Amino acid sequence: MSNLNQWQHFMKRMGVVALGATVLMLARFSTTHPSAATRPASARSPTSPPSPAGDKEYIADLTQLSLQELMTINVEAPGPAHVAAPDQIGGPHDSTGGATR
Amino acid sequence: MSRRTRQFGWTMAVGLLLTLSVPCRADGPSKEQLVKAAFIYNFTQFVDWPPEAFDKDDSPLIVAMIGDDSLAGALDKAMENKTAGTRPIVVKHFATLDDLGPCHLLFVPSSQDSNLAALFDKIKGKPILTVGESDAFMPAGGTMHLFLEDGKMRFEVSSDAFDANKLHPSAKLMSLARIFKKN
Repeated sequence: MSNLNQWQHFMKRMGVVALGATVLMLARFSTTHPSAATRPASARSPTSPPSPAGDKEYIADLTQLSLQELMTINVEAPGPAHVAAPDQIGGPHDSTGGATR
Repeated sequence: MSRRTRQFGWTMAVGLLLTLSVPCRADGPSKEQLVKAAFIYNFTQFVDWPPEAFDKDDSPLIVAMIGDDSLAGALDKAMENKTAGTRPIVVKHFATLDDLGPCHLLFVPSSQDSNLAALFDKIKGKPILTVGESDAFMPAGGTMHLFLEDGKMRFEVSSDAFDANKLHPSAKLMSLARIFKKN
């Protein structure tokens, strides 16, 4: 195989690798920017469908969460902030709460 | 090598470089900082300040922090376009205790531990809600303390400090808080 053909082959292979890496990076980026559909009930618009019971969800703007919901977030866990579904919120410090007084 | 193949290779290489350079969440405030800022925002919703704490009916509620800016980005983001009742929330940063100006909520990072006595002496009796993050904060006279327990954010409050600063926490806030008792 001539040097020209080797170089051509190398460039094609690099192109495929770059394309794969780009797709992977875009997938990673999208997981850190949740859409409105994945937000918890308190942050969702009234027309959004409810989440399945027991599901854990994540949200970008944490100020939309109540104190009660904020207290369910494990800040040491990797990845975006996950909030427990309403039926999973409980415990001695979670007896009440909500976004309103 | 054909021009088409070369173009494809270069396009992919440049695309990869651009994608790798896109800042992801890790480049911004940490999750802990974002959660802390969200807690502080919630505190502004669950505490009442006395009327004399404000110049006018439409004066802003000033959320401030002192010293290093470890929480600054998260705090600015959390308070953006937010209100406390009808009052807009404004964030201010004071580099040192000497620079400290009027504010209603003051976040005190652990880097200020050596200045706590001077700080509480300076703001004594003023209607300022102080929120700290170090274990030394509450014994020194702080009102609210954010801390981690099993990876989750918790907060404790001092009823005495609320009273001394003429601040009124809601019952809901108190029900979620751990009550600090000075020995």
